[in-house]
Amino acid sequence: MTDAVTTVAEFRVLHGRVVDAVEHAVHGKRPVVELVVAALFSGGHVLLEDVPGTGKTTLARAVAAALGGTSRRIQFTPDLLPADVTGTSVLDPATGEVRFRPGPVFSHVLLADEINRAAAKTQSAMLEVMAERTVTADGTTHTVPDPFLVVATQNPVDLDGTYRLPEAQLDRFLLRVSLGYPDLEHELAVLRPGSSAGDVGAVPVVTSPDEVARFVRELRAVHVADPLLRYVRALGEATREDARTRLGASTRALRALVGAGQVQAAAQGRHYVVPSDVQRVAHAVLEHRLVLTREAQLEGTTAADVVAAAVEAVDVPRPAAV
Amino acid sequence: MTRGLRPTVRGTTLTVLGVATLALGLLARYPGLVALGVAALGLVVAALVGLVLPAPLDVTQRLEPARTPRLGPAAARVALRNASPWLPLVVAGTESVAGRELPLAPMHLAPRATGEVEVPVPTDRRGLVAVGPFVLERRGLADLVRSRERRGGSSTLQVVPRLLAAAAPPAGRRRGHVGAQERVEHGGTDLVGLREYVPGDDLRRLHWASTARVGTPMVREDADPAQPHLTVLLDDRADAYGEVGDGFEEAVDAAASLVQACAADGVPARCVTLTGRLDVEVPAGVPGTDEPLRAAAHAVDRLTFVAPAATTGLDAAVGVPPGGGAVVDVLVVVTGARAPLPALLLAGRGAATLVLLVVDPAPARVPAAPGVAVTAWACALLLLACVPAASAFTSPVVLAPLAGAVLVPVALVALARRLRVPAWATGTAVVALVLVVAASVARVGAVGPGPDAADGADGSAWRSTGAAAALGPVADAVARLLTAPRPAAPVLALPVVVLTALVALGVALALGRRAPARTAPLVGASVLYGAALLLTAGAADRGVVAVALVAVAAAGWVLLGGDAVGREREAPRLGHAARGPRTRWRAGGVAGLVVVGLVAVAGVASAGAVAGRPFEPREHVTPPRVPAAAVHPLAELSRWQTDAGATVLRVAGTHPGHLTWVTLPDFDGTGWSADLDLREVGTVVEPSLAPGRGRAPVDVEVELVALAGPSGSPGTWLPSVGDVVATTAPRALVDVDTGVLAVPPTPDGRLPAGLTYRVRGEADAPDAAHAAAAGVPGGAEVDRYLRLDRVPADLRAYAQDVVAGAHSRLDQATVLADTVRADRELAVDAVSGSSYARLREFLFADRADGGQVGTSEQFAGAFAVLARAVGLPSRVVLGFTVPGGAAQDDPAPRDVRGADVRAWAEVYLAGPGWVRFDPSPDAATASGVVQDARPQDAGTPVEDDVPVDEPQDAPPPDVDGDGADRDEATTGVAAGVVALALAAALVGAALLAVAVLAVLGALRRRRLRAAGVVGAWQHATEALARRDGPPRAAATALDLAERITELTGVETSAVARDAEAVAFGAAEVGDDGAAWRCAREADRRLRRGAGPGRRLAWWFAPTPRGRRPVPPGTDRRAVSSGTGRPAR
Repeated sequence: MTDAVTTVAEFRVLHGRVVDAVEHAVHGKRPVVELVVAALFSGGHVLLEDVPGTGKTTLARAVAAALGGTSRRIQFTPDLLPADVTGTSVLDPATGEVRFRPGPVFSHVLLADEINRAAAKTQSAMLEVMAERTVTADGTTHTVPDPFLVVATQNPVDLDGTYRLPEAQLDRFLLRVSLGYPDLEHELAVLRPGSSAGDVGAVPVVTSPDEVARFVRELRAVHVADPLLRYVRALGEATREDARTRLGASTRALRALVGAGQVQAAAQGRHYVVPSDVQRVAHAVLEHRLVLTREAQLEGTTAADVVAAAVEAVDVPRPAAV
Repeated sequence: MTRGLRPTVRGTTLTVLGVATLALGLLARYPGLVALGVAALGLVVAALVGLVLPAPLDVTQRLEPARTPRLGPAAARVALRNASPWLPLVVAGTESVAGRELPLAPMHLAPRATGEVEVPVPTDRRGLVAVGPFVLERRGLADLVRSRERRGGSSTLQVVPRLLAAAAPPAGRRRGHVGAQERVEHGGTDLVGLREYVPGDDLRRLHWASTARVGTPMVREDADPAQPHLTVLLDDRADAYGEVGDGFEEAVDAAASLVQACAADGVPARCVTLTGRLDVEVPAGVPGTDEPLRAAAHAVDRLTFVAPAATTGLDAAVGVPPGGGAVVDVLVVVTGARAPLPALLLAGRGAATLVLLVVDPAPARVPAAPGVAVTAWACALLLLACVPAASAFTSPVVLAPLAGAVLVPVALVALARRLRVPAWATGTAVVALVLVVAASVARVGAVGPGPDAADGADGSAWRSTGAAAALGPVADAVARLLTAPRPAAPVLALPVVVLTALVALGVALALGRRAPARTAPLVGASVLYGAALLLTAGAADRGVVAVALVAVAAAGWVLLGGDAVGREREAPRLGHAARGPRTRWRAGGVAGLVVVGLVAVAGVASAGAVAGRPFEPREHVTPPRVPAAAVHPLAELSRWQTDAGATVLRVAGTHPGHLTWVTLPDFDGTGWSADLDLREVGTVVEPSLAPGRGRAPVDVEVELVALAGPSGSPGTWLPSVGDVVATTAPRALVDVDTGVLAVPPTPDGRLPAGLTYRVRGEADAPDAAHAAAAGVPGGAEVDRYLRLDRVPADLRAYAQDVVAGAHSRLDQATVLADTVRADRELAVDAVSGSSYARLREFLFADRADGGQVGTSEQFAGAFAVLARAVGLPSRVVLGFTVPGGAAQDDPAPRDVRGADVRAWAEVYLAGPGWVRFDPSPDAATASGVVQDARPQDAGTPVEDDVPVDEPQDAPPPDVDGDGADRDEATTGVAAGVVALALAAALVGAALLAVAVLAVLGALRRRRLRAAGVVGAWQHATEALARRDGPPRAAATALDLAERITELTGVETSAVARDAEAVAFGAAEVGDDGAAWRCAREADRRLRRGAGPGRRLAWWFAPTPRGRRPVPPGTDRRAVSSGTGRPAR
């Protein structure tokens, strides 16, 4: 218990520092930043989905910068090949040996810009590395660095020449968040000449990949009481039983929900999860994994509606003595 | 799904008991019995009502595994789902397993919750065991009514013989069967035959010589001379095994185990049953290979369905088992303990080695005794039922022997059960003990008046011999008790004690049986209760004890569980109760408490509606009469009047101003006399004429002065007033018709000198309004007071002339008294006598001829005769007027002198009762009617009065002259009383319910207070729910805290956070007291802000349920017990 409390206390401070650092470049989006940082410490990947110009790439780069580890960026295009992502074996003329040259995925933070522009086989190459954190080339398995965070962006509006991400790959993203436009005050601040907004270079390095990896491991010990697990399960079941969904939340989704909840709790300085932690991340974790029926789509229902209905419908566990 | 609603034995018994006691109570007009009946029937009705709605339950079941060895684990998993979205469900039922109904422990299911019960399937018998369907058994209140519904499907379990750890016969012990007799210790190969090669045969086993000879590949068939050949002979005759235990099952296990062990070792084996119905072989094979094991499995399968046969005799058994030519090397005979062993030993004569296995199972277990709690409950019921009996006796000390009579038989039965004495022997012994003790006590302690000698002479032939003679005193004790004064002396309680002991014995014996209904205690208690009511004519209890009996019985059934006291003994309960006993009690107990409370109120209210004269068994038993010397007392009148200054007696206390010495109701034309029926004071005998409606209490202390002693008056009459209820005069006797009090005659025929005694009772106190309107009764009862044999015509004519103008009976009597009094002279020295002649002389003769002058005897006698002549029931009373008149609690004794001894008359009027008339000229008061209440129009005719000369047509004695009006009024009053009682019952029930809810609420708050910060938080949220209604599902603790803060200004988010920390994080938090104070403050402010209705009901409103904070599929326990914290 004491270890957990200490860990949580340390993490709370670190979390605050990381979020503050990212906010040097991304103004007025603290909740989103917190979510993305939470995903980072859950060991999950983040999908940023929004229209162009809202700061997706800036956010991703700022997170990578604050983390302090290696970060690479891939601009996905239709002609991008899997080997361009994962790496390829080349003949070293000096030694005459075939040598594996690691691709961009061999970094701590991978920025996958416009991920939906890549062809299906390139996206599937991402599948392995996102789930297994390994790359297999010529029969040899290469492990990517730890921690490994994919921050992908995609544009939901301009869909010409894009390849829709398969459900399997969407399920591998811990969170999907939208940034949205900043409010008046923050947008004015961004517009003001001399603003540091978008200046990733101003983001200080506040942690190290090793520290992140340690917290990813240790935050798994944050206590989740049995009723909360049942609550999470009930949320998942509610999305599955919802008539508007063709595919509800998977077990992996619910695991992700628990993990994100743990990091949320730790970010609040608690070594135990409470229902509001789960509720706070439920939308980000669940929405992109649901597949709606055609009828529901035609009616204008969104995955957010389904998740909101589930959250409203399921009884929250509350403390009770008798 | 089939449904069946049926009353349990308990319910049936309670219904019968209820109907019987209700009918008897109404018949005998015993409020207590009516209350008992109504309460019993009310419980049954409440139980029925609870079972009307169908249960929303889905049942699925699966069996694991489908095949198991005997005594191996097998279980059916019954999944129960509460389909109701809002109704919690208590599920109990039975799972049908092998034709037996196995009860499941009650399971509490939250709305939409699912529970699973693992039903172990008994595998003590081989064969196919049918499992299912699940029978949902719902029980009404106190298990009085049950309904059964079949739910779910059924499946079948195959139970095969149990395979014990056995070893095959050791190799190398067998004599080689080919030639030599030497022992083959290390195995070997004997060529026993040749056969054609089949693909797969080992080529090394080709017998080349034969192959060359035959031209076809031939393979050797070898036998291992060291390999044993086992034959298992299973005795399958039913009579070889006892009826108890699993002897045959174990025999089959042994047989199967041997066969299996042989197969595992590759040793050939054969299994034969003695009746020849089974004969399977397991061939030799390579150890560990499939073939012999498959054959063994086949044999085991066959053994699964072997049943003991009814064949008797040993024909099939003797000799080598059938099977023709097979090698019999080792023969194992498996048989039961009852098989004739010598004959079986012969069965092994063809075998080299014979093993005889005799299976002797353990004896059956002795049934367990009922628990202490059940026995205590039964004793409590019986003791409670004994309480009303105490009021039939003068001292409550009688409760001690009654308690002993309850406890001793119960203890003896418990002791006997521990010593394993059969129940019939215990019963007989205890009955004998009770009778012997009772006979001894009756013989030693027979006191008080016994039955009449004459009755005994007629009816005592049966007791002349044997045990009847010994039990005679016990039988007499019953008569003695029923004819004794009430309340009786405790020494007369013997019959009640004997009855109690016998009932307690019966109850104790019934408890030892496996009857699940457990109705014996209530039935026994009802018997005792009824006996107590009979003893007291229903006065012992107005229904309170009756409903208490029903309540205690129901409480026992509920708390000790229809199961704890009953079925637990039959079969183990399956599964686990989903909640602890305390919560079960809370859920079921509150409803039960309310129902029992309502039933109790209904019972008491119905008892209040019982009106009328209750049945009195003593009226059907003639009490003993005590002979008393009848000395004519009228002669003493003139003696005392001449000795006018002597103090006759002294009187103090409450009295109407006169004392009765003796009442003379009988007139034969020559004089007045008293034919009295003297009995002990307190003996229950009703007077022949109903007492008056208005009664005044009498409590007078009399000191006899000149009246008693050697110089006193002869005779043993004691001055008294009215109807005597109790007196301190020793061994006093009373005549209930006249109220005359007497003591048994002394040797000198006079009262003991200086006797001082106290008399309590009641006297008729007629008021003028009723008396003026009253008629006179008719019927045989008044004939005695109207009797005028051969009355002279002039007397009758005179009387009729006198009353000619009178309008009412009272007026007639008053006019007669006035006429007798008018112009006549009272003289102490006048000629005595009351014959017709003396009265005619007194009334009609001239003063010179001795007429117109008389003592008070003539005045009273003439008035009484004239009154009888006009149909007024009358009698003459000799008594004393007390100087100073009526007195109320007068402590100063007043001297009654000789001049105060006088005679007067009394007239009986229907309603007012006996009205005193003193027709003497010097009378202080002319009549006993209270004059100031007399209405102004008393002279108006009475409509329903009877003609003066037709008294026999008058209304019966117990009906008023104005009966119709009175009846109507009485009916109206009764209806009003009933309505009032019902209203009071309803109000009482409502108050009871409120009180119960308030108490439960207080208890709940106390538990919450004890539960620390989580309890405090729950208290606050419940208050919020009372104010706002149930919160929305998604509202977290912090949301609720914000709402509370918004409504009250009390900052409760810290409490919410702490509660969450405890509930979800197993954390230790700081100050529970501060949290509780915060929650209380929030509760107070929320209440203040609520509407008037909610504020009123705040303290006793039920806990707001609504949407409980539980996700679907969650076990409700998790939340109610603190949301499943991890272990610290």
